[in-house]
Amino acid sequence: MGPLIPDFISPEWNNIIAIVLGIAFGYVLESAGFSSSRKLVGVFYGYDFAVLRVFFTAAITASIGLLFMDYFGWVNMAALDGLPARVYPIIVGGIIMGLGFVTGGFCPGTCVTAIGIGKLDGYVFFGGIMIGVFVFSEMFPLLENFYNKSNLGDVSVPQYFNISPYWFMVGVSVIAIVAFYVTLQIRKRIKKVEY
Amino acid sequence: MKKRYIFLALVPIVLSIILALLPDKSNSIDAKRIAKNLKSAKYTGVSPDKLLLESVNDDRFMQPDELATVIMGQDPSYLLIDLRDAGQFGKFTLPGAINIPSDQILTDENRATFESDAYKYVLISNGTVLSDQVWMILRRAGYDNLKVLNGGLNQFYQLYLNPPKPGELDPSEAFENYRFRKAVGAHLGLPNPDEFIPGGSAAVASPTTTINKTQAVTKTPTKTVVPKKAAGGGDEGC
Repeated sequence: MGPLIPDFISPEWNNIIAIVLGIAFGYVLESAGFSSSRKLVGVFYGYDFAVLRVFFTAAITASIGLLFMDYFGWVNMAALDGLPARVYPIIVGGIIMGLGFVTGGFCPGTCVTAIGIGKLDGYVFFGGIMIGVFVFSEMFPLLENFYNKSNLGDVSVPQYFNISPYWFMVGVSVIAIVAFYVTLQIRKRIKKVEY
Repeated sequence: MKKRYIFLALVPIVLSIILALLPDKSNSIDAKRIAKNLKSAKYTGVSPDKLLLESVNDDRFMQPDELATVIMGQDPSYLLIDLRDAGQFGKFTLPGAINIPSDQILTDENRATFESDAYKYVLISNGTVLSDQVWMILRRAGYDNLKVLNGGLNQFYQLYLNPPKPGELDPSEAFENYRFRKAVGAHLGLPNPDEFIPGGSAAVASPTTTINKTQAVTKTPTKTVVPKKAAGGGDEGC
């Protein structure tokens, strides 16, 4: 199972564990209400910040947990794969992804959850993803130069700025709590939307 | 309800502060980060473990016969680097060798010499030790295609000045090898070992041809060069 307890679980189990984890992830998304596109886009209009809260909580829980496991030597952080940090392509991709999110009402994972409970807009969104993937693949030779520019490699924020990951984690936790508080205040002031 | 939110908000902050204040993170990514910084700050060349593997491997050594083949064939893909000081280099060297004294090996212009991919660089000194040390320095600095002349110039000249004569029962290759070494010796301006090494005794033992003798006479100028060479090889620097 990747870097975690590698001595007990052999690599052949990886795919099976991935399926179990995937189903669990989908279940959590659905039970958090993320199969509803109206709930998801609430974060853009300010009437529902569940997306921000759920994902921010997941991020800090997972990273604090990983850092503790790393401290006790239970997990080999060096074996964890990170995607290479391609600075400008990520900014452009983020804008495109955000536009797709606010107009379509899903992100790639939640649209599959929506399909799971039989929502038609989920199917449409999924078809759009497939078309987008196809177009991007066909256009890749044109974009390749830009895609590979400003590639910093597999680097994390604390690594790049050469700071302690632990104090960085403290900062992220504080930012998360502040974000939760601010979004709570915003939500109080905005007219409640029925959905 | 409000209290529960505050408690939940405090949990990640407290946990991460505990994490930051925990002692001895020698096993953690922070230690790995520092190690990585050290590594990237100081070195650009081969990693220490790889260098260690290479240093116990004999692949870097070039045997004198291989070098002789290169010299005789005037193979342009080899660049001979003479690591001795300019004085010794001035006295004699191998054909085509350039002089980079070992203490100037990492100056900017000399570094540029090693940056081409077109050459295999043969490091030459009087013995093996100095050129092996320079090999280590260059390899650590990240340069590639380096060879070390095994035995150095001393063994090289020893081999071609006085090649071990094959016995009567040796295979024909040994004789071929012997002839090749004699030819290399002649090419490098060394006297014919048959005439030179045994000295008078050979002349007495084999008075077969007078032509040989006259050759020996005409070769006297080269003979005077030889002791110089032997002397040059004699003051083994390493």
